[in-house]
Amino acid sequence: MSLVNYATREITCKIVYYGPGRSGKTTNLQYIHSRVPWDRKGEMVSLATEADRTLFFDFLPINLGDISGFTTRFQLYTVPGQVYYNATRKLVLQGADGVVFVADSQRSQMDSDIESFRNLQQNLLEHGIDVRDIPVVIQYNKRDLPNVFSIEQLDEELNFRDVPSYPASALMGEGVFDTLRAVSEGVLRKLAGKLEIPKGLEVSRR
Amino acid sequence: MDRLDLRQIQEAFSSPLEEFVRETRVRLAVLINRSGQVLAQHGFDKLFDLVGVASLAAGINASSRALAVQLGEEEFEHLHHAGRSRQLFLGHFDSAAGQLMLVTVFDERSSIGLVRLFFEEFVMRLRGLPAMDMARSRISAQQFEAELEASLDRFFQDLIGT
Repeated sequence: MSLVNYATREITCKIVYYGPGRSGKTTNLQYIHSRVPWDRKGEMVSLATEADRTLFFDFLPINLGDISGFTTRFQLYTVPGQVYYNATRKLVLQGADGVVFVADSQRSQMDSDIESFRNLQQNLLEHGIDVRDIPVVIQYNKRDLPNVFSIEQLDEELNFRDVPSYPASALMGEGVFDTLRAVSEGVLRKLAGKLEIPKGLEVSRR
Repeated sequence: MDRLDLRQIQEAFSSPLEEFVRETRVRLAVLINRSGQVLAQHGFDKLFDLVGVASLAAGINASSRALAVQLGEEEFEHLHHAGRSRQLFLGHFDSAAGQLMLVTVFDERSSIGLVRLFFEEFVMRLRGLPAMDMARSRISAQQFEAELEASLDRFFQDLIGT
């Protein structure tokens, strides 16, 4: 749920990084945290198991700066990817304004990607949200590894709605900010549409 | 509900929140929604990462509610965590602006009994407020969209491609 504070002129939006276990959701946030200047970010909170797997969520607040006189803040969350943690995944998804689906490009992980994407749609539906009504960006991660599917093959399996998609190697930072920029733009354009509905303006896609 | 006009909320809630802090002598009182976004705050907060506290509190509340449902309860009562010097109280309630939570941090100057007592009063005062309307547009969407791309470029120019 985007919040617009007219008194302090602030906008706050929630972005959730979703995807199967070990696809690189936490790595995305860690890279963002490492690169964003200190005065544009808050503390990163990670609720992880002893083995560094996400147990509940990672959380990173960032400040995108001023848009139309409004300080624009984004709260970035990850969900735990393991199938076992669906209840917590659903909780973190609550109130999301946009979703980044981090897919693992490796051939061996396609089934997990598809299962996780279906799980995303299901969990959104349980919150009363149709996946077509929320900005979603797909990131094809781990492009640096061998035995990966081509982008075209991944698009065919996962991106049947033709949402913006980006290749990435989150560990090296490649594609991380392209993805974040795309989802930010999608969320803010959708918000603008609610502020005052201008005719003829549509969300542009890559 | 897609968004709320926080000015209405802050104006309506600021007096009861101030009074709650004064009466209970808690160090910090933060009003948040179920997503963990801060709607209003009062008290000394320099020691705390406010946004982090809010997101974690929302997480605790969400998991507590889910557990309650699994155990056949609609919801659990409020949550209280006590440390050696500081304590945390999370009280949730329904309001005209949806379900909200009051997160309070207190030390030896207050007590859980005092906090619970005045929390009930706080909620009663809020329930007595007139219903708040949804937000009214006070921003030009066209101007916002026009500035959006340039603003995002400014933020991401040094970050993309690195």
